[in-house]
Formats: sequence, structure tokens, C-alpha cells
Amino acid sequence: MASTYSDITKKALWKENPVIRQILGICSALAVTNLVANTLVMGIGVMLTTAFSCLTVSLLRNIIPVRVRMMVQTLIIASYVILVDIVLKAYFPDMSRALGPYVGLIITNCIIMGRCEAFAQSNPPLLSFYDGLMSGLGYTLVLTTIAIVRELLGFGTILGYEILGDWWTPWTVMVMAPSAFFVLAVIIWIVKSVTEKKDAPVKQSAKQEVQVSGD
Amino acid sequence: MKDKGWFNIVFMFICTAFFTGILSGAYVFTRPQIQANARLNEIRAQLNALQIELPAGMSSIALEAFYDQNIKEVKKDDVTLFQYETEEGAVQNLLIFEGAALWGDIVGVIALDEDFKTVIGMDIIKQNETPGLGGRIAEDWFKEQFRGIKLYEDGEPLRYASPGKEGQLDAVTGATATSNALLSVINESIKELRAKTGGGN
Repeated sequence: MASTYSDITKKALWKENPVIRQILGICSALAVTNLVANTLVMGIGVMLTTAFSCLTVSLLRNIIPVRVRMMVQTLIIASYVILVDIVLKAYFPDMSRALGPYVGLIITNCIIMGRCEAFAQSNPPLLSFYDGLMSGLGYTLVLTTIAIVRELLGFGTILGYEILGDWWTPWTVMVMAPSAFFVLAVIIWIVKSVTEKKDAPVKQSAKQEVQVSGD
Repeated sequence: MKDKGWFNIVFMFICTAFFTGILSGAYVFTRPQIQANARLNEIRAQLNALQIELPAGMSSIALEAFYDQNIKEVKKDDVTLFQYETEEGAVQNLLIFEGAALWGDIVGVIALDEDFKTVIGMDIIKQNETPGLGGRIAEDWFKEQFRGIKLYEDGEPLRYASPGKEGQLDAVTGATATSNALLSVINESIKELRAKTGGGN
């Protein structure tokens, strides 16, 4: 179980990316990716809550009784999510208004509990904090890619700046939630094709990997 | 000891108390700031509805002072209105509307002229609609449509235009539910105002 920082980075961003490899965090991938700006704020929110939740779980890992550990994890995650919401409301009111109910939705993100349970529970605090941060970053990168495609085709803009001009007819479907599925599926397809070619000799073992899904 | 039932329960209690304690502290600490933000937001919306242009770099304290000086709360036959007197002496009314939309409550303000016949402007104070879809009711292009339009005397005061149907406004494409909810909330408020103040005379 000896993980190094570079190991964690590679796994979180690519080899075991929470969204494209583990299909976690799909709920929010649908909800926030129609505008790049919303996605970035949501991504930062998820990075911070995951990192601090993992840190806290890791600090308490030797005290928490095994039977109630899930309850304690949920409590810790919920506390950080509410904290993020309060801080946004107090010091970034414009962002808070733009994100509305999505901040509360961070708690439904499986990545946070997944990392707490799979990593922070059995690793030292700093390493766990870093793992949470990187998992959040892996999530953010994939969602931002989806958001760039959706905002560009759906509004003709990126971060609100007009890119495609008047001749472009916006695709309403790209603004609606289902298009996130289309874009995400295409991204997973591309990533799978690229990696399967590269990992041809180990293809068999890769296929046997058990994948967890949820939202 | 660690796996005994009573220890688990006591541990959960301590944990819950600890984390809710931290959250309560954060809540109490930031409450004045959050309330101030909400008030500023409402003031900006009301002034925008009245089409009052203020200097861009105006501080929040100056903004509040300006508001307190110029806008008066009045109770008119059971309805609460905010009133503003222009330099020419005309009275303008601000009506706060509130009601359920697609995902949550919408709160907004509509500015009407003295006899409630013409809209001066409309702004949204709070909404939780889908960003990019229903949330576009808070965008300028949508709100600016309300400037200077005449209200219908009979039936719904505000209507969307559609093929073959007359109306003053365009709905948000792809967000029919939110568009309709918003207009019915505003219309209900205006109709209530008219009924209580005697047909808007």
C-alpha cells in the first residue's frame, strides 16, 4: 500500500481517473457542465471538500470505530460541504448565486466517500489530503473538457466569450443534461481506444478490473 | 472496547456535537455578511427595475444610504409597496413578487408607474433555475424586455407572444416551464394589487 505522490497523481488524473475509469461523480457531471465557469467552481468545491474530508478521516482513522466509520465519514463530508456553501454565500455571493443548489449536491458525489473509504482510511493524513486533491482535480479536468464542448456547441461561447459568431446555430440539446452523457461517452470511448492500443499486452488483465459505478 | 455498542453510540454523539458545533460557529460568524449581501442584492435589483443608473464604483454603504433616502415603504390597502419619487415628481411603485417556479422559489421585483399601467422594469432577486436554461430569466436580454411595456387591462396583465397570439414578451427558448412560472407569479401579484387597490385607479 505504499503510495508515493507521483503514483497518486498518475492514478487520479489518468490510470484510475474517477470519472472516465471508475464512472463516479456522474450526477454532477450532468448537472453543471453546460457552462465552463460553473464547472470550474464546482470542481474547486469538490477538490476542497474531498481533500479536507480525506485529511480529517485520515487523522481520525485510528479512533473511529469500524462499525460507525461510514456514518462518521458522511458527517465529515456533509460538514465540509455546508462550510463551502457558507463561505461562498458570505464572500463570493455572485458565484453562490450562479451555482445555487449545486453546491449542496457536492455531497452526492461518490468520489469523496470513495476516496475516504478506499484511501484515507488506511493512509497518513498528508498523503490522503494530496490524494483527495488529485482525485478532485481528475474529476475537474474531465468535467471541464465536457463543459468546453457543451458550452461551445450550445452557446457558441467559452467562459462567456463569444467564439463561434453569429453564423452558428446553438444546439439546444447541448444545454440540456442528456448531452453530457453523449460527450462523456465519446470521451470514455476515445480514452479506452487510446489506452487499449498502448497497453495491448496487458489488455487481458485490464479487462478484468472490477469497476464500481454510482453517482 | 472499540467495538462495543455503547462506545460506538457515544463516539457518534461526540463527533456529531463537534462537527455541528463548528458549523454553527461558522454560520453565526458569517451571518451578518450573508445578510448584508442579500440586502445589497435586493437593493440593486430594485434600483435596476426602476432604471436608476448609479456610478459604477459606488460603495455598498453609499448605495444603501441612497436607497434609504429615496425609497419609501408604503402600505396601500393591505399591499406592501416601495415607492420612489422621480425628479419630475412622478411616483413609481415597486412590487415584490414571490412564488414557486420549476425548481424552487423565485423572488423578484417589478417597477410600475403611478397607476399600475406601464412597467418600468423587472429584476430577479432570487432564483434556483437550471443555469443556462431557466436561469436565463436573470440575464439582461430577458429582463430588458419588460422596460416600458403596457399591461393588458383584462385577463393576464403580461403575456408571451407566440405565433397567432399577441403578447409583449418573448419566453426563454428551451425553458418553457420556468418562463411560464415566472410570468404567472408576476401576473398573480399584479392582479392581487389591482384587486386590492380597486382596479388600478
